[in-house]
Amino acid sequence: MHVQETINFKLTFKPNYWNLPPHACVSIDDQVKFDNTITVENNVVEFSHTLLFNQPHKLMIKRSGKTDDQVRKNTDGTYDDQMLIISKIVIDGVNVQNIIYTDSYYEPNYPKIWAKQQELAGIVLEKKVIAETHLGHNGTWTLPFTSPFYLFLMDKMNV
Amino acid sequence: MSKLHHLNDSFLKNIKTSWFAQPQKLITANQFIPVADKWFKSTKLNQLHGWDEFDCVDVVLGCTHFIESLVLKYGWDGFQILNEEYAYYGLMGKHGTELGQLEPNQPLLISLPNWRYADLRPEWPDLLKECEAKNIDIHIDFAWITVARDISIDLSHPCIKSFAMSLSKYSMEWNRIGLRWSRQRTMDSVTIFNRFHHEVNSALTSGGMHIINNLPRDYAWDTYRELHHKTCKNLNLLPTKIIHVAHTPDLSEVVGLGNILSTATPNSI
Repeated sequence: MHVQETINFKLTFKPNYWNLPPHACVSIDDQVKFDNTITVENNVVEFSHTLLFNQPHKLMIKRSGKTDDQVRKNTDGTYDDQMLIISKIVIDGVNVQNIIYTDSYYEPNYPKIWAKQQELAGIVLEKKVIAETHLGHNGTWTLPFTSPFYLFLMDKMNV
Repeated sequence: MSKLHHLNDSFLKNIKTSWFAQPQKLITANQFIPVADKWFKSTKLNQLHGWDEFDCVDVVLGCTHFIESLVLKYGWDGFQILNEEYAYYGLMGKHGTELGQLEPNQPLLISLPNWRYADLRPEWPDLLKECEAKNIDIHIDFAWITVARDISIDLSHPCIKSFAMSLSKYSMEWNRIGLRWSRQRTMDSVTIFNRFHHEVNSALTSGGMHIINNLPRDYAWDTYRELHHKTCKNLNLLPTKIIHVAHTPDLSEVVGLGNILSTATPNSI
């Protein structure tokens, strides 16, 4: 009788920056699997992890490296920015794009001054952004799931 | 190369005839799987070590279903095969890779016993080493194992992730049922077929149970071993480990014996 499974995770990132690259710390259940800057397009982070059955699990990406000076306004009115984009996540050979759209959430750490400006302007900033894959602010992206992973996926199927 | 017809004698034909002639008993997949698992494992002619490590067992519609499930998951260009595989790969534009040239991290689909060698591939030990070095998962199509003898393989090698067998090679194409064994279950079309839909087609499992209740596991070799060898001797061929396959003396060609064996009378032996 199985009580655990070893699953392969493959995350593809795309950075967008003009000065300093974004930093990503990828973890599962608080076990860090990758902790580095994302400098090239199609930056693939791949690892395996053993998951206990019938337990809640979390795939997390802590995005950091963004400071106020990484945003600048150009003379033509456009902005140069620093962004971390999650291009694709494949778990156990399955592209989980649809699950990301329904189950993942991003908790941004908004810059204090900017957040205050938004508040004064009457804009309510979301604490938890569902299905966000373009990580502009520093913060933590989370995908909760369970194991066996195939059963988790099957629970999401409705037809 | 002559066509490699399967064994299809009157005994095997009668299994089909009796199924369609008799009242049917409903057998579910849950009832079928343990019985079929035991039936496949009951061979006394082949040694498949480490089988019990693969305890995720699913029903398949023949080994083709097993293959298609892998293809659907990894994509036509997302898996690899070696040379000397079944013709349908080549007919659909999938070509084999030489040993030593396998792509790292890309799953390998391999048929055992191989039709060309009527045995394991001679390079099997080297293949395992290459797969281990390159992190290649192996999925085995055991389509011909039911009509094979003296095949010995260690399935406990960590690169081997899944394999499938079916009843088709006993000319049971009218049903085709088989099983897939996996180390751990993964999301693919076979898993959906077995686990998501409320019922695996019960016509399939009921017919499959009828077959294994009436077909001794090693029927082919237990019945035709002597005739296989006698025919090979008479036709100046070399016997192989597959009941319906012989080799030419120089091993350059395979020759089908299925029709000769299937139409043999007791006096033929």
